[in-house]
Amino acid sequence: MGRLARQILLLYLVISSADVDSLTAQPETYNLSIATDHIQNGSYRLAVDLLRPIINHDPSSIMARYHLGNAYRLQRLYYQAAKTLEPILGLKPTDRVAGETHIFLAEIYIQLGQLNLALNQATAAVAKVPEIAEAHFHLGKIYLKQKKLDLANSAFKQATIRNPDFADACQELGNIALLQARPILAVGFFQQVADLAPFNYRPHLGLMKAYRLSNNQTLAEKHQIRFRDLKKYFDQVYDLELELKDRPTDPQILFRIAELHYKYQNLSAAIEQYQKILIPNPQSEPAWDQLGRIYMQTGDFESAIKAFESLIGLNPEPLEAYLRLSWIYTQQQRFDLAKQLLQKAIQLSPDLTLAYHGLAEVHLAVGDAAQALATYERIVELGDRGPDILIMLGQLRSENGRTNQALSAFQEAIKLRQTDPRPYRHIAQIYVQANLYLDTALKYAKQAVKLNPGAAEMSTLALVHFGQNQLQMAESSIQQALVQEPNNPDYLQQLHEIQQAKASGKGGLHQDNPTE
Amino acid sequence: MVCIKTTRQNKSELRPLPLWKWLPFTIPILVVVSIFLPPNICAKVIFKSVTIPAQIDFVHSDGQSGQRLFNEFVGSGAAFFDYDNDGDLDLYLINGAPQPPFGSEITPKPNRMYQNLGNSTFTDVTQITNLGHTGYGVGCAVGDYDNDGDTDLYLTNFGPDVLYQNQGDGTFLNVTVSANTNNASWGTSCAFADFENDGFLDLYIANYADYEVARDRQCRNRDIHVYCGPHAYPAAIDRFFHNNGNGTFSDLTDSYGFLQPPPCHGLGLTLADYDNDGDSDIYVANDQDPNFLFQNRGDGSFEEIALLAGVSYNDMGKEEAGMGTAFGDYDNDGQVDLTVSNFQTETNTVYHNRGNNFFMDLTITTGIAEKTYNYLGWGIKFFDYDNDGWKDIFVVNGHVMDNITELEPNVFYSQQNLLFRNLGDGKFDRVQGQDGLALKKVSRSAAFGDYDNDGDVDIVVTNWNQSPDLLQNEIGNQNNWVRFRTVGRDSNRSGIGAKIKVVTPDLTQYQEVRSGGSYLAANDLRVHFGLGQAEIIQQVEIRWPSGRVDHRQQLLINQEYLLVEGDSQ
Repeated sequence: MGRLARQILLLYLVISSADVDSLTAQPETYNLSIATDHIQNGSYRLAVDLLRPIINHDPSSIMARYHLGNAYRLQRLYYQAAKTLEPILGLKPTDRVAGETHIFLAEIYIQLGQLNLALNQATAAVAKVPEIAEAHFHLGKIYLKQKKLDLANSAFKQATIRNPDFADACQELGNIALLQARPILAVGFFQQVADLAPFNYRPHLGLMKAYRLSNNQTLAEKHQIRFRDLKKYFDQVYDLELELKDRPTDPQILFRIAELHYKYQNLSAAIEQYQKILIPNPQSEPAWDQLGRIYMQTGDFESAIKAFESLIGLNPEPLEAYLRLSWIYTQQQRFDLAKQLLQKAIQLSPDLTLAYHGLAEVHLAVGDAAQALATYERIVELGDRGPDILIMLGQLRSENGRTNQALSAFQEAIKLRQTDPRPYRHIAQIYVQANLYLDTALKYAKQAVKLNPGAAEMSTLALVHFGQNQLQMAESSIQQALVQEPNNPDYLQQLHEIQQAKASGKGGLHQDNPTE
Repeated sequence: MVCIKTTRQNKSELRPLPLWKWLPFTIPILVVVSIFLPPNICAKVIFKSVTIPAQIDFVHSDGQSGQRLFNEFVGSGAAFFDYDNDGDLDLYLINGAPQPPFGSEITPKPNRMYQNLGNSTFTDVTQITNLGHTGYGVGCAVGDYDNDGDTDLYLTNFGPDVLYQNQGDGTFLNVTVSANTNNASWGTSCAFADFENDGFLDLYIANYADYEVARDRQCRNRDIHVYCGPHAYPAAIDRFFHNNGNGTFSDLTDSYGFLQPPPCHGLGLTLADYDNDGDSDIYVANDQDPNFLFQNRGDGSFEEIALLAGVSYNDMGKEEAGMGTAFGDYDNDGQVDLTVSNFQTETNTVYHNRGNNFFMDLTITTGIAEKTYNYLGWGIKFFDYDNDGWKDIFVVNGHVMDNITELEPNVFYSQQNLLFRNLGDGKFDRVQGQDGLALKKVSRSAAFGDYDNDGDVDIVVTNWNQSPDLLQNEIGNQNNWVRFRTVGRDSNRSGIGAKIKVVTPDLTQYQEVRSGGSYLAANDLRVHFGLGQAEIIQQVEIRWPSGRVDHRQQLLINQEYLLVEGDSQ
């Protein structure tokens, strides 16, 4: 190739590279932002893949180095992290970035076993960003390794002053108190950690040791059990997170982690995990479903509604989502919305008794006893003849004047569950109100009391006695109900009527006592 | 500073003479030597490497597969024991072996038995003794399991273990099958002790992992082929063999409660009566698993109580890579303390026994944390190297990854071994020295004993794929000492488990007779006490495993005494 041709080619390359520069400037900023998101989501490798080319292109990019070093640090690739972060300090970063870089480097050198370098970095961090608790924390860790307990203690205290919720710093303060054979002080610190981080196993080990030091074997054993339990949970999550290193987006692993959090009732961690699953997989129906359920459990109904609505958006036929949403709406007294969803669920699955249950509850809540009765009748028709349903059905039939059918429902309920006082009580009430078969009513009322001598049962017994003109016994029974519920207006009224009858010398509800 | 030149004895002198008898001959030599040697160098040689002059020509081999097979990194151990009952310590060195299909062209090099000639040299008696096992050797324990007056040997292997019965005529017989001590797992550290105090030595074997070469996995770290970590393979169950008293053993692992915790990757082992209730307890250092403390209930059962005793996890509740471990009463309070060697950046651990079944982790305040932070430790032991009456710590180091520097440029495969001097106030200080302490190798195991009978404890260190180092103690006998050899009558013949209390005007010390442990090693069964400047031993109390207590009064210093059960003064 001739010299001219080479010069033309070179010129072309320079021009092209300039074009590339101008073209890549924007993607770099964009990639930096995406990489930060990846780091926040724990997808460190993806972040590294985005950040490396930026540094290759511009080795003086402070923020790219900062985030790449952080991504390496979080993957425990400490040597690479140090090599990436160290040059930042020569690139005139802001005080904040310099301080945070010192903090990262202090932690990294501790992990690499280079305590002197770590001490330099931690000291520089404290000077640069004294407001950041982690700077003091790492300084404390180094002092602790160097057996300088007082300095370590002071550094950890500084960390907790900056961040009162800094569990690891409190834990170290507890450990120092243990080393100084001050178990009571140690208990205070470890308990603080346990309160701050209820799923952290570490404070329970400290508490166990502190109680052993104080010869309190019972509490020591209690914390030993708690430690074992939480450690097992932590280890399982940790193992799964290790698997994630190789397959960072494997939904099966992500789900198993979320399920573990849920199993141990660490609901905030479970929510966070399901949210992580949904970032790359917004179409994941099980994730929305679980998220909705957990929000329900935490009482965050608005978030639960959003989760279930997202699920319904993906799949218009998730019956369970309809039911759960309708339950939330019922709790929120948004009965129309609840009713609509339940009717839709019934439309999709006409035999879904749970939907009828929900609907019946809504009807009851809005005071529509007739619709509620019809719905329960439908539930029974569909074969759901449990004792509770039959009792509810009996009550509604009774209120609706269908006494015989009500009695039949209560009798069936008794056959299914003989230990439930309610059907006995209701039968007694029906008979006494109809002034029929008062002896039988008395037997039922007594059986109800035998099964559960509660206020309602005593009141029913009082009613039967009153009906039988046994005013003394009626008064005694209602008094017993009032012992349990002294302010119940119905019982007070009942007592008043009995006392009035006694005073007037008249009988109870009825003078005659017809027999069966 | 005076440079001590120690004296040696000839093989013809079967019993060691008290040191004071040599004094008139040694003083002129000492003076001459000290004139010609620069004092600064002289002062710094605490342990001198004498492997070559001692004619130890053993070189360890892990089988040379070149594949980084999982079982290679553990290395192999060694034993100091007097197999021929001639009063001095002989040396057994264990070797690896080729592992087909890899290295099948390599001739297996057997374990080697070296007889101490009594003049600071050894001769190879492997063939005569029949101890040249060519399996993949790992660790060992010694003790007179058949109470016939000579010391037997148990060998753990990657593959079937071997029990060698000492025939009393300078030969050993493999009695593994007839004695029923077949541990098919990958055994590591092991130890003999009479756990039921019935007069016969039982056997505990720590097992590592359920691994076969055919199932070897290639592990990678940042795309570099490395040795796999312990959890690449499931853990194997440790084994407990009860001595039936008739030359046979029964595997009572299950019925004695050793299956109560889930199996862990066992490497290190140490025994002691840590709770002073008269029976031997067991501590196992597990690799990246919680460590075990099996408390002997004295009724033929054991309970694992490490967590509640505070010796299971580190202070942050994390299980560490426990390698070697040792019990020892470093503060002379009559309660044995505990130390464990761990992985690099984990620090070794020192636990102080507070009584009432509870240990406090005092690693930081003892000064051990910072000084062991950058080392990967293995064999470890409390012993009094300078005979000042306070037990010091020696730990051998070396990385598990031959290519670690590719991953972490500031971490090295070969590392120095560490000696920590007990300052007598609960703190330890690192002792630096030239020669033996300056070596940087890939060490694994260390066996301790006064092989030259000069009144201080020497060490043999085994190294991975390298020659061992016989480290002769050059300074210990500047202070006074006493040594005891125990012979049990109602108790086991070796006297293993006997607790010896030595009272001098300024100090009371305690030690137990122990066999095997730490990491793959067996130490001198004789018990050595440093006495500092004490001129007289006021009292010695021996508590035998049988429960019998013997006493001796007003003993002379710098002597070895034979303590026979029942022979009270």
